[in-house]
Amino acid sequence: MQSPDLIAPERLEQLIAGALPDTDREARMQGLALELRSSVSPAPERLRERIQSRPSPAPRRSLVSRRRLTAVLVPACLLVTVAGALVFGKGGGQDNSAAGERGVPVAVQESRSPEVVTGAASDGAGDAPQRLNGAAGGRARDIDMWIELRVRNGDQLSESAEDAARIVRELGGFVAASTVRTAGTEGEAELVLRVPTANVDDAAFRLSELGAVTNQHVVTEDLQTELDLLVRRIEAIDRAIRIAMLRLGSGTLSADERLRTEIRLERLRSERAQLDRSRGRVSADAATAQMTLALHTREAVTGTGDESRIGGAARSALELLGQAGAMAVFLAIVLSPLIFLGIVGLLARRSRARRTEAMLLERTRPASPSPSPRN
Amino acid sequence: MADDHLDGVHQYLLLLTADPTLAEDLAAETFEKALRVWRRYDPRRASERTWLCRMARSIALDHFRADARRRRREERFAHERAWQEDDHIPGTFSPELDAALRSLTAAEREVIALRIVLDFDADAAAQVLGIGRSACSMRLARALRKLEERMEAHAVA
Repeated sequence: MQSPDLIAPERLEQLIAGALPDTDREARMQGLALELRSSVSPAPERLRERIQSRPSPAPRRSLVSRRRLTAVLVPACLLVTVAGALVFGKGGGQDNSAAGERGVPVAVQESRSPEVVTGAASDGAGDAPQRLNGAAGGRARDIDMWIELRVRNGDQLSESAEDAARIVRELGGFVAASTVRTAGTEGEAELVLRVPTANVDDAAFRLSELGAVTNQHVVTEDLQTELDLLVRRIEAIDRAIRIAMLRLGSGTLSADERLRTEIRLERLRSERAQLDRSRGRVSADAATAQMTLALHTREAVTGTGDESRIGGAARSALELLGQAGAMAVFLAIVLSPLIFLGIVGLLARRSRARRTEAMLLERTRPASPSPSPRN
Repeated sequence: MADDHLDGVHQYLLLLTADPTLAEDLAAETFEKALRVWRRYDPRRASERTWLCRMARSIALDHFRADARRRRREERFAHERAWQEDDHIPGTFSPELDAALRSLTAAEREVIALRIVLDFDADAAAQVLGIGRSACSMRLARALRKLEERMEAHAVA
């Protein structure tokens, strides 16, 4: 028969700890606990001897707590990661710096076999653009050059623009277009210059002295092949024309043959005129180079000397870390379903283990009779 | 370590299994394992007694599992050991208390052994059982109520 005055777990804890009982039931429960506590019997002597016959364990090593280990390992790993990124970045920065000192990494574009030369940004005043040998080996070339210069202020910008026009005229060229904008000490200008190809190197050299070169870009396109083709075609047509005229002047042609020859002669002359015009255009392109001179008063994008190396190294290091972080995020996203399934599986396994354990312990009787005889 | 805690661990296993011979075997196995893995014991995580009782519990559960598998393999139903007049848990328990204890489940005897007999505090007992503190208190309250009821029933009988 169950007693109506049930004892709450919290009150039971107090009674076990020695609190004074308030009711008979509490007193009985406390008495029960005392009886259980006082009924402890020592382990059998044979068990004690059995255990004491074992050798003593080796001294326990002092363990490093997980917290201390984490406090040391995490900063160490971060330090190694950052140092590695800086080393890689420094190597990349040095490469970039070396290229800057050379002045020109060369890239070739495929377009009527042009040759592209791009100058890296440099703040060295008066750095000369790469020499192009405008009439290299006499070959016809179409040269398109872009030069960007930084000047101190708006006044110098105006003076430099005037000087550029004067230089180009002195070299036999002309200013095709000009735009100048100034506002106080700031300003920018753009001049499109046409310069005889033979003088393009001199022009580039003299123009670069007007300020600090911050960028340069050149596209050269070989026109000689096209020109040679045109010349050979023209020569072939000239020969065909002479042959046709000789035939017409021979007086041996029938009326029909004469007519056909005259038609053919007319067609040849027309084609020759067209080829002449093409040759003229190609020759004109090869005769002068287009130079675009951009002047500005903006600060240089890149630093100088050592600062650019450090900046480049730091930037490369940050890029590397950024890429590593992006890769980590990508992997986390890709692997997250597997991780989730793993966690769910682990929790299910633990839950099952707990249920099995509870089932084993809920047996009223011992699991099985002991194989050894009971005493 | 063995000298200090052998009595407590043996008593715990005795109440858990209600089988003196099995308790003795499991206690020996517990201390054998403890001596082997002693270097891995971290005193910051639990006291020696808690660590040993947790190990003893694990070993006892392994024994129960193996026994259950064996009986399933032999295609026998669970063997109910016949209650015998002289069957008792060694100790100075009164006959009513002894009979009442044997009528409890292993889980109920286990929590009584830890909290009452060995005087573990609530946190240490919960750590051994692998449950929360409040769950441990609730389990103890139920076990003691049931023990009291069984004692009354035996007394009446």
